[in-house]
Amino acid sequence: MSKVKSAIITAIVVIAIVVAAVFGVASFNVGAIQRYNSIAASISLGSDYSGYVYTTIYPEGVLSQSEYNALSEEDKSSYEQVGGVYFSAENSDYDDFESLSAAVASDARKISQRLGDRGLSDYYVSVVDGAAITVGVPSGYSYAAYKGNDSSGRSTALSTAGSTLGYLLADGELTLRTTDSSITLGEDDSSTTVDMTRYADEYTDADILGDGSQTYSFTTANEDITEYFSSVSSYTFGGSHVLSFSLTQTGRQRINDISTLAASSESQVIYVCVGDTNMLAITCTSAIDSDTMQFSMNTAEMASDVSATLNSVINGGTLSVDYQDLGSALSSTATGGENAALMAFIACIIVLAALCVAAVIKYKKLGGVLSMSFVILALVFLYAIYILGIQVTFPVIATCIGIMLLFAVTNLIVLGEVRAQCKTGKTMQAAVKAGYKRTLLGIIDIHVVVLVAAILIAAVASGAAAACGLTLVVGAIASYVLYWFTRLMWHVCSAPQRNKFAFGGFKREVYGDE
Amino acid sequence: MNKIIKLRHIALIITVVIIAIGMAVGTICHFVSNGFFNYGDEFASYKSVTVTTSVPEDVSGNAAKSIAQDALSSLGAYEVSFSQGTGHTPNTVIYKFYTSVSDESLSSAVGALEQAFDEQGLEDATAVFNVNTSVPEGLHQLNFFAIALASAVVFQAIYFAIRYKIGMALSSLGTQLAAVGVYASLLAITRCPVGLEAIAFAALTVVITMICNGVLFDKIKKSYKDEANAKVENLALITESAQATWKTGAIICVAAIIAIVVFGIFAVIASPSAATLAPFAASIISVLAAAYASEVFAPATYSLINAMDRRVK
Repeated sequence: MSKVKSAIITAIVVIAIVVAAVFGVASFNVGAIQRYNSIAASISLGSDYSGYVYTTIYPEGVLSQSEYNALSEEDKSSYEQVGGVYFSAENSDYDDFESLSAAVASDARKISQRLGDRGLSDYYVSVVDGAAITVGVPSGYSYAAYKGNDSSGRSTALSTAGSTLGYLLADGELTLRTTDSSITLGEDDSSTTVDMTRYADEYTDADILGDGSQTYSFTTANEDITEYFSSVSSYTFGGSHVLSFSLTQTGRQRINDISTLAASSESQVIYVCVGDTNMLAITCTSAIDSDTMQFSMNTAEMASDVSATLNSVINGGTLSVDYQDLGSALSSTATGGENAALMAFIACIIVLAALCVAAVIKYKKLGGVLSMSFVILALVFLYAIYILGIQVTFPVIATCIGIMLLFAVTNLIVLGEVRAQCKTGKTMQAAVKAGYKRTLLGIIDIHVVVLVAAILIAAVASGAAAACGLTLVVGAIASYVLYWFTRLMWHVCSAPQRNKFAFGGFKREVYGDE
Repeated sequence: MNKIIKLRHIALIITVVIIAIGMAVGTICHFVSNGFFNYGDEFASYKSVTVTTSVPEDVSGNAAKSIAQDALSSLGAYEVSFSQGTGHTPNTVIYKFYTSVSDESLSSAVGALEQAFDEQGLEDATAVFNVNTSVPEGLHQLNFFAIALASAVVFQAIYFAIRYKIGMALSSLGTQLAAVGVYASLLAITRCPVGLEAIAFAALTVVITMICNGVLFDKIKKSYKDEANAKVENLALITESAQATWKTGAIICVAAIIAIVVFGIFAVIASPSAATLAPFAASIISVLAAAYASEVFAPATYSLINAMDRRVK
């Protein structure tokens, strides 16, 4: 390869890396009011770097300190203080605090199960003074949103986390509802009108849809709707977020009846509700007659929230206590400290710099090529984490470091072999060729094993472990591709060098007849 | 390395002893202390003092933070969080304490806080002492994770059985089990706080062990194939290969530990509390477990299986 060609290719690669790095890590103002937030500043962060969004739910008859303070002296007299909360048997469905406390503890376990099924990177559930439940989920802010440089991102993340809490803390029975007070089946003379007000229940006036309209159940109070569904799941495919219901035989028949009724109604909608929370609106233009039902949801988060809650409810996870309406969700500072994300980023830069310096010390100019690959690998992680929406926690960062080390190992192995080949008296080109050939299968083995393990972890596990699995998948593929890229760049960068052995700090065994 | 191969029975016994001690400590702690593992903050019960001020009285929340700092900082909170209030939510500062902090000292701190509110004219402010019981049901995530990890380990064994030798596959399987066993045992013995991230670190343990196993068995396979080694005994070849790959494994583990320490130092700079270090301690334990399993257990097991195989033949 000519010196000019080598210089051009090297310059293009370096420019590409620099541009990717600048957009990856540098945030800056564009004009007076616009701001460009870098990829690193736009990645969703876990609770250790951006805090929790949390709320506390109080059963009917239990008040917080501030609610109690707002009561009149007369109203206060019916409440007794229990720890940091106030309990009134008069206003509660429970006669004594102990029985309420037992029911709340049971509900907390069900909520925790729902959150576990939801696959969040982190969460907490705790029973406060035996009478209320505090639940926290990661805020999912990006660094820009956390620091107030992306107000729309902050409000979106807050709204998503708040919506997650709203769905997962839904209390009450599962019902299928309509806004129509009467539905006419059939046409003309053979038509019959069903009076839906006969199915009015405790949720009819609960303003489930938030527009003041009343809703009526499609089923009688004696029917157990949970028996109609065997499971609910969610998945995302090709950008569509799908909620899938599996029906039992009885369920298929009843859903057929209900959807026939809904299709004849004016609204043509079935609202799937848990208590007074509307989970899903199913538009029915004809009867549904299938073992499974699939519906498109607006976001993956919403699909997962609804799926986790409905699955819990149909499997006996209905909350038994009647809770007050969900209050505002609060957003806390990062559990790792206000500057935890910034400090973690600085640590990432230091570790990357240390790897690059170590490579240059050990392999001289070839170390520069390796450093280039390390930086590219770091950028691949940065962009992949952003594109795939992986929430960054310390385990995810540790996984990235693990893959960096995998990449370092593959290069250690191959360069060790090349060094050994040089010592046998081969030319540099022959030594590189032989070194890569001799180590190829071993390196493929390592990558295949890591890749398959990563796919299994990403597919089967949930939460932080699944995020690590997905990061490993990206890393294993990138590491293998960069293994070959390193060889290419070695060839390109060493082309102008007269002494190819000195380029990598290798020594050749010189024989007397040479 | 030669010694490890020679003393391979002892290496196996040490592994079994570590796991047995871990199980024993975990079981004892399950009955007399806070569980098999020392569950972290998200699983552990705690006491808290929540200070709230209304936005009209305390726009930035600085008054709430400052008063809470004065009254509560000496009590040793392991976590402090602040939520900025809005039009309809108050500024909220929550100090979390371990259950060992006495109710009396927290109650008297609440009294001091109420006095400070009066002095500063914060009429809407509240200070509440709560006892919080955490719900560790999230541990059922372990079930799915265990399935994924077991599948990955079995896959590696099958892959090694096809690509290398049955003995290597069995060693690899044993090494992975030992790695996870030693990791869990060290967590139980050291009482390092275990959170959900500890599950992810178990995956890291397995992946590092997989990489080191791959390097080791690839080297052994190559030395078997090398015609120059035709007359050399298998045990010597295993020793030589383990010696040659030992450095690579050591570099991975040392580099991983250095990186974790760097992250730990910066995490402490961000939040100087003991609780901050818990995930870093768990991650160092995971690397140590992987290092032990791949650098000591794997060559010892494989040499043992190889010797047994030869005896059978």
